[in-house]
Amino acid sequence: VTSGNVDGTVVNAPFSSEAERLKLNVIADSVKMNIQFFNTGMLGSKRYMDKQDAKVMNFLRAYLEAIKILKTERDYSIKAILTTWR
Amino acid sequence: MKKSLLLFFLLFCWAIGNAGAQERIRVGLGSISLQSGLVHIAIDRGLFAKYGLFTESVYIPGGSTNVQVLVSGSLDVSQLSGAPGVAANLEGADLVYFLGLLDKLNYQLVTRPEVKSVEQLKGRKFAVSRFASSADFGMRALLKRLGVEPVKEATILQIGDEPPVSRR
Repeated sequence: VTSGNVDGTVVNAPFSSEAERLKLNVIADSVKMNIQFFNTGMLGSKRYMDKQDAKVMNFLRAYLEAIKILKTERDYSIKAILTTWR
Repeated sequence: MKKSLLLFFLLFCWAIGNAGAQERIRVGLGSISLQSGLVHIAIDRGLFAKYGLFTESVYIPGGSTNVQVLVSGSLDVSQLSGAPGVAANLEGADLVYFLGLLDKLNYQLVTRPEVKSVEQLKGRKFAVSRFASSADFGMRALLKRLGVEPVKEATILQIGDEPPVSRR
């Protein structure tokens, strides 16, 4: 989009501040438009779930604690995610 | 001296035994997003280790590619949108979603500086990572909601994925 080869694209929200930096326009936001969609989930094979149910449960326990951290420790979470993906 | 050596040996054996007790789980991440950061937070804060797991996260861009790796058995679980798993099951896979994080589309439609309004969207070219990806679904859903018929009134091109830059 910034090179001008295409006129637009979709990006994961929130992108507004990055769009502003790149001088792009945010024309529509699907979150505000309330479009129902199974957006993000965790999946595995049924065979794996059956064989490794205890392991999957432990994975879920850790994952749920990570969600709690994401919701309660804003500064740490932003820093951790940026460090990971940068 | 002998006691110190014996103590060191016992501690070494204990450490080896504990490391072996951790079970490995391989997690596929299909996009660079806030949600996929959760796995990294859990790794960083030692949450998986707390529950006896050693987690390897692998960034595999694109839901359909990610599902292929999952079905092959090279991944144990993956974090993806709903579309790739459902599509794979329709082709005979045995995938199960065991966690849902978001039930709304969370894409923003961004355009070049000269495209400033919905009225200017018709006749334009738009990019998605891959056809049938969640980005493709999101693009088409957004355009339709804005009164632009995809394909007929706008061109959608697949241009590839985000760069694989995950550090872990």
